[in-house]
Amino acid sequence: MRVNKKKHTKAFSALLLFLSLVVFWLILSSHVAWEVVIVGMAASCIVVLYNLNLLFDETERTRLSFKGAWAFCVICYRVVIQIVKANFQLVKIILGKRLTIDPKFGEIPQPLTKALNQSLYANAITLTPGTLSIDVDQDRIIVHALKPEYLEELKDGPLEQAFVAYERSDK
Amino acid sequence: MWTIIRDICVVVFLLGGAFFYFVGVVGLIRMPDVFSRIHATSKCDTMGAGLIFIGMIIWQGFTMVSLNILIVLIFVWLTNPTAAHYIAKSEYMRRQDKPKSLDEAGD
Amino acid sequence: MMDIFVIVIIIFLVMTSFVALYRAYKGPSAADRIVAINVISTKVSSIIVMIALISHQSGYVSVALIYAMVGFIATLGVAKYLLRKRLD
Repeated sequence: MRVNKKKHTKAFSALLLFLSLVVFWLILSSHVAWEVVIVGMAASCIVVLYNLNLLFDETERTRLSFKGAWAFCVICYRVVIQIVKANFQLVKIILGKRLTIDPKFGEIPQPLTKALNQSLYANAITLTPGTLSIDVDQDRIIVHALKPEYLEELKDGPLEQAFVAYERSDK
Repeated sequence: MWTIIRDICVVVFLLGGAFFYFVGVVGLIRMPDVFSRIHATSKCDTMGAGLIFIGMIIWQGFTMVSLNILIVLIFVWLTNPTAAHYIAKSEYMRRQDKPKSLDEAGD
Repeated sequence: MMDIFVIVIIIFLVMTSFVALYRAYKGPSAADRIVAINVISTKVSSIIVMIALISHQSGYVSVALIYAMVGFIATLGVAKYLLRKRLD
């Protein structure tokens, strides 16, 4: 039963990858004719078959649902807000007369368990103000911070809550 | 009338993008060590590329070309933090292997 | 009018990428040089998009996409070599 379910999510991943590759092909070729569509579907099939062992199964990504889509929209909104904040704070630091920075390394606990969510969270940490993710592990993330207080802001912040809500959305 | 408003939007977005690119390069020159430089370039490049591509999409209007530009924008936003993370990881691991006295000499 | 403004922005970006090239020339460690080259490749990709729109050659946008991909793969390759000291 367990193996069967795993196979099921893997087939769904393959279908999703195939559809997104076809859409990508159609946008790149910028006009729709039947030979373009057939060649695109053949090429997408070859790419999916070649990459079958790279696809995500259910231990690595959250299953899709409407609640998950809403949680993902919340994540995107918060990441964009963080990018804008990070840039204005960097402008203040870099164009100031003296560089008021005190760089140091630190660790924060890893709140997530699935691999795809962990890498998305590490990318989002790189884009938040004053932090840069360096090493991602199963139970901690090593972070380089420009000032120590940015590291404290990251722990249990709004971004982490959004990601935890996204990971729990399929239960 | 509408073209004037559109042109003003494009000018604002392009000036903002060029400004953030400039801030990123100034940070690349001014910052004291490698990790702080990666801070400056990863964030400012992401913002600058986003602003310039959105300005180009507004200037082009909604066509197939602007969908292409949107794909380039999504690709840059996904890959830029990943590249910064990988460079920082390789430099961090390299410093872990070295003896302690050489650790600060790299700047 | 807008074309001239976009060309001015392109010239400004080219000048800033030469400033980044100074860091790639001087940079004390290998990671500095990789960061500078990554910055330049992002800038060149957005310059190609602007050139595509002012010269009405919409095929150049695909060139920008491929340039961004090649820059990303090159950055990952050199950083991986730095991390493992081999490429196999």
